[in-house]
Amino acid sequence: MSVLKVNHLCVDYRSRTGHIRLVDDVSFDIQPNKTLAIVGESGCGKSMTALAMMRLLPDGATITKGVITLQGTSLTGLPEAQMRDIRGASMSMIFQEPMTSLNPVFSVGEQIAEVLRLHTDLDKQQVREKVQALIRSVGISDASQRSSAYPHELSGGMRQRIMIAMALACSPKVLIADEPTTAVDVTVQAQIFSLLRDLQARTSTAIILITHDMGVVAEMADDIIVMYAGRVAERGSVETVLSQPAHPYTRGLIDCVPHLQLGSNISLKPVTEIPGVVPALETIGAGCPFVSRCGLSEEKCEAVMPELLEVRPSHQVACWNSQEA
Amino acid sequence: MIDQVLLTVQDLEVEFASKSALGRNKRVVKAVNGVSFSINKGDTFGIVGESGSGKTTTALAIMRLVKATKGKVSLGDMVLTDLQGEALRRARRRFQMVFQDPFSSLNPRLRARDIVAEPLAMLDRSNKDNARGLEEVFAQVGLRPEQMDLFPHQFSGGQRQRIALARALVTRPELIVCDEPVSALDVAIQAQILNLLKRIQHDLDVTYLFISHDLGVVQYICDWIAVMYLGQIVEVAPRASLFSYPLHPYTLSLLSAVPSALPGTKAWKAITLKGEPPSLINLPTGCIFADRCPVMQPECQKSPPALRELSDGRRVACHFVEEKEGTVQNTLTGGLEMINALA
Repeated sequence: MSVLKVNHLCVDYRSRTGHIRLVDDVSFDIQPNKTLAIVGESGCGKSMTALAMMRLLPDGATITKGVITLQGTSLTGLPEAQMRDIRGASMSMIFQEPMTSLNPVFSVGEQIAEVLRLHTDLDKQQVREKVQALIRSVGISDASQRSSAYPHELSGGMRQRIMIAMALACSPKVLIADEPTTAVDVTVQAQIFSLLRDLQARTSTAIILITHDMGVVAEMADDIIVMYAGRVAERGSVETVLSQPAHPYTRGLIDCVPHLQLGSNISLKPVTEIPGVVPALETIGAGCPFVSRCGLSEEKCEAVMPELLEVRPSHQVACWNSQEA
Repeated sequence: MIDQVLLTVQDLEVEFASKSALGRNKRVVKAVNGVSFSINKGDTFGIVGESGSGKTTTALAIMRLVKATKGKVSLGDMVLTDLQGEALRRARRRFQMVFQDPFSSLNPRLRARDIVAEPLAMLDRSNKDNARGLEEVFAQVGLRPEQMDLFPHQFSGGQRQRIALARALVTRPELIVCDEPVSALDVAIQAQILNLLKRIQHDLDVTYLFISHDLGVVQYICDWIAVMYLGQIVEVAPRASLFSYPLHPYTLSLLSAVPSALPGTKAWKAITLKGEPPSLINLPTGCIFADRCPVMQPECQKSPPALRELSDGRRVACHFVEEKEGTVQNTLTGGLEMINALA
């Protein structure tokens, strides 16, 4: 039974010059206790998809089509007041830069307490105890002291833990983590991942992990969605997609990074570049949006947008080449 | 051919004064604490470490952009740490730098042409020579001549880093210090810049000091690698040795923490280090890594291990590294195969 369902989601941005489709027909669902990774370069629509789920889209961007259902409740038509009850309670989000998403003038304990005061009817004493329990649960010792610290007094890794504690305060069903470890060191990243895994095992939270790092995907996720120019290019289980990537863009994302190899018989393959950059969304024509950067493009790719079709059970790809093969 | 040493760094120290809120109790932070290494001409030497390990401060001290409190840096036969005033300004032609964030390291009010030409002001050259040099250097970094008149905001991140590299190359330097040159770029663009750096080194025989926290990138581009922790080097080794038998427990932990996307090759688990690096103000008396070391022994907290040189030229600061009949090993951690036992 899936906890969150996204059906044919479209997000449009209205500017003076016209409409731009930021997210185009994205569908997925996620089960409790599972982790779904959404992968792509900046500008591919992965953060917009996350913000649409939280109904936190920036000004000018709106959900124009599609349905988002959280435990049977449709979020798309929900009045803002009810949406506020859901945010931070049954669905919460961790952002990339913990320094800018924490309020610098309140102690971190106070900021965690705010979530509890808004969503629970615990009394003052209970809130205080719960805050300290949460701080301890994310692996921070001397919780009573740390809860009165201000964000600037904590290291980057510590701040990200506080963000996680805040996001988990009301045991959400779905946790959206937008590049949660991009701003921290690998050793801290390892700590945060082991923390997220422990928490998931305890609470069965479904995690949506937004990242550009295939290593992170391999480490953390069960399923993967690769997005390009607002569309789903490929999706499937992490094992299948990473070992048999069928979309040239997925292949490119895997091969463009020098992966650390350990051992004595290492052959360092040259990293292959994905030529060019993500095209401006308003310049995309009728065909496949990846066509300008693709090594395999043919006439058909220029003319007709490939649909997302199954190449093997639970592995879907939007590419003319892999579908014909 | 005997390798020719280009850069020598000896016992480099950089201290910063840190005052408490009321200005009393002046304390000293040793950001770089006795760092020594040398780089052969045409090589790429990498420094890795977590944030706060002193890798960027080391680079800035070599560039004479922060003041070294102690120690000596020489480029060829020129002692950089002794240079002052006009002599230093002129010498800068020989060592240039590429910074992490190409969005803040380029002057937004200057055209690409003027950004790249700025360092040439140090040289007494005719404008005609300069113009030819500019076109050549733009071509080397893969930019088109007509792009010379654009402003930084008209370029993508990868292209901006190409401009930054062109600015470093234009004086024909012997050494380029690259401080995290790809970490601010999108993944797909990183490869373009890494391959460009390699090609330029191949064509121009330039030497790189490459600062990074990304071990995959470092493995890809560096010939020698120094691992820094709390302002000190804990291990220096050639690429092949470091990634096949890391000797310092910190190196081992750092390598184990990197997630790998190549299916089937990630045969190791991450060794999760406890806590965070201690404060630079109150350094522990024994080994600086003792508090977080997965294999800490009582004697580690008593005396700091020296950075010892082994027969193949690599150096490591751990009491438990032994060299017997041509093989070296850490008697506590063993090798890579022990990662999962320690994790």
